[in-house]
Amino acid sequence: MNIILILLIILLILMAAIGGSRGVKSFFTLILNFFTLFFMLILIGAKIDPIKVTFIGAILISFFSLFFINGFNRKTFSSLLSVIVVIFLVMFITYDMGINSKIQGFSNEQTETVAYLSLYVQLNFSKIVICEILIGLLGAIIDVSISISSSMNELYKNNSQITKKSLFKSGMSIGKDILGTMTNTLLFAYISGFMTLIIYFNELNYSLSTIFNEKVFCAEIFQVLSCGIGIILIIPITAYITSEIFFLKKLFKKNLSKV
Amino acid sequence: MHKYLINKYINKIKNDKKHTIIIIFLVAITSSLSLYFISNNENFYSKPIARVLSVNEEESKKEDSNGKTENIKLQKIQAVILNGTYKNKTVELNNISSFSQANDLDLKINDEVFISITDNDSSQIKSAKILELKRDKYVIYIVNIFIVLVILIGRLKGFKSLISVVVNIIILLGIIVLFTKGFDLLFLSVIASILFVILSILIVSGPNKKSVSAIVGTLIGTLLSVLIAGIVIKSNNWNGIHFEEMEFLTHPPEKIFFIELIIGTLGGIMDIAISISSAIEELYDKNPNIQRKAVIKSAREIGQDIMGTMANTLVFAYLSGSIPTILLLLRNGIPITYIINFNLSLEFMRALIGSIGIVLSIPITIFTSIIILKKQMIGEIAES
Repeated sequence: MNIILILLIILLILMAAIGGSRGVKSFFTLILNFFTLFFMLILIGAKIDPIKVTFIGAILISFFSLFFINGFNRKTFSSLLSVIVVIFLVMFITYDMGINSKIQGFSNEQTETVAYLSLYVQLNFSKIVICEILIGLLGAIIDVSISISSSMNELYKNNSQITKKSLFKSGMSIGKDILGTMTNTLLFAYISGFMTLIIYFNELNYSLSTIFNEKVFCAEIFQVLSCGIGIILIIPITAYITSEIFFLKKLFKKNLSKV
Repeated sequence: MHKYLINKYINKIKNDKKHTIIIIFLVAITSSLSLYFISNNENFYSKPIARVLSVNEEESKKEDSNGKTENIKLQKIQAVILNGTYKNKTVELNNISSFSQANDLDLKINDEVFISITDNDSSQIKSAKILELKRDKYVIYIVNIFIVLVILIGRLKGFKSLISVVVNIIILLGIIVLFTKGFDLLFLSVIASILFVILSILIVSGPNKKSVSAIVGTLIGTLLSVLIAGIVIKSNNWNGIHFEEMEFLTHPPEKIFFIELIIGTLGGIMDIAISISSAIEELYDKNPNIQRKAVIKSAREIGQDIMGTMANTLVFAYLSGSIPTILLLLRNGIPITYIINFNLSLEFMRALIGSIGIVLSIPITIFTSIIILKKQMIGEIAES
């Protein structure tokens, strides 16, 4: 039997056994997200502007991951806003560097594995770099953002006297706690994919200076660090937006009661 | 007693501030030094480097076997050599750039490229060829942006995360060096994984019982998920898994891939283990006499909160790397079902084993935390 299928079934059983109905929901959100991603790629393949597709697709995926698993409420709403802001910011930071460093497409090492395909496909790969970067960090920033905003929500619920400033500060400190473990998660995920290439470089006796200018190496560094930049930026932004939104409601209520 | 604690806390904040200022100062110096070095490092390279002065483009079209036409640019480039024997000489370079740029460069003025020079006996340049773009400065730029942001926003905790990243990278490089010296990769990876887990968790959450339970939980969780992977793979003889992506290696790809699976699974499991064990510690802190059932219930709820988004993180992190390949295949008219079955099998495998590890490590860490942290509470009560 196909291994992927067996593993999918094992994952579904485990998620249902340990996570109950929310586990099952998580599983199907995962599948839905995968198909959304694939649909995005089909649109990009049909020569629709990659940046626009990525942006709209990323918002859709965040929408599914946040609202299906955690429901529609003020914490998921502030997470969604924060994720959108961070996607914008990361795009702004990496856009020029990503295109100027020309890390698009395939390196000479990789073209061997796609040698039977035409590389002239009338699709500009330099913009797709940005798409890759944003998709790669999407899951991570959603994760960090919802963790921060739900902890802030708990704090706010259990302590009605809390000020906006101290709520923001708590959000920051929760975020910093997550930072350490999240960087590790991503680091290991990316390192595991990168090991093949490092071993290959080593076999070919590439010098350090060659590796540093290699397309794949730079592409990988860009991907990992853009991810890192995303998860570090999402911390203050979620803390800020969440505290603003929570207190917006309070302000609104106050004004209402005055009237 | 209470006052003493408050004073201690204030001192800690003051100390933290002092540390933070020192760290920010150090980061400012190293990043400006690295930026200076990277923009003036031509003489450290033995290969000649040239900077593009002007580009003359000639457009043409190329038709492929499918009848599709691609715009091709022939670039005639004037460039000045920046290092070596021919420093300050200008050379002419030719470059071909396609619209897709899948494996070529679209050069612009001020880009720097490595070139190879063929010269004659009287050391005059006969011709020169472009080898590769010089990308080192972009690597340094993004590393600097990352480090500065981590320090500015994460302060001391951010600094600790950076240290743990650096330590892990050093361990990884260590394994690969030892591997090329002939050591068994599986043996090395097991040792390295244990080191990765212990060091990362100790650096991030300090030497305490909470860390011990997270470490034990991570190790058991990883072992179990790797066992599941191994059993499923062995009993189905790699059915449905395609290694074309790794074909260029001279080593057997199955083994290397399996080791990558172990390492890729570690990070996510560590993340979950730390979250669960800190939550359980907090529960015991608030109420040392809390019932075991109540602990399990709360911890499970936390686990349910995080497992979906964590699995999502892994799926996107793994699949994002395949985006160019998927697009190339789609544009070459390869059917979607074929791409999913054939070209993405390795990425699916990584994401699935990682997610299985995440879910499995929830009950495991709940179990190890209850055993390790509960004992501590009983011990403390006995002491007082």
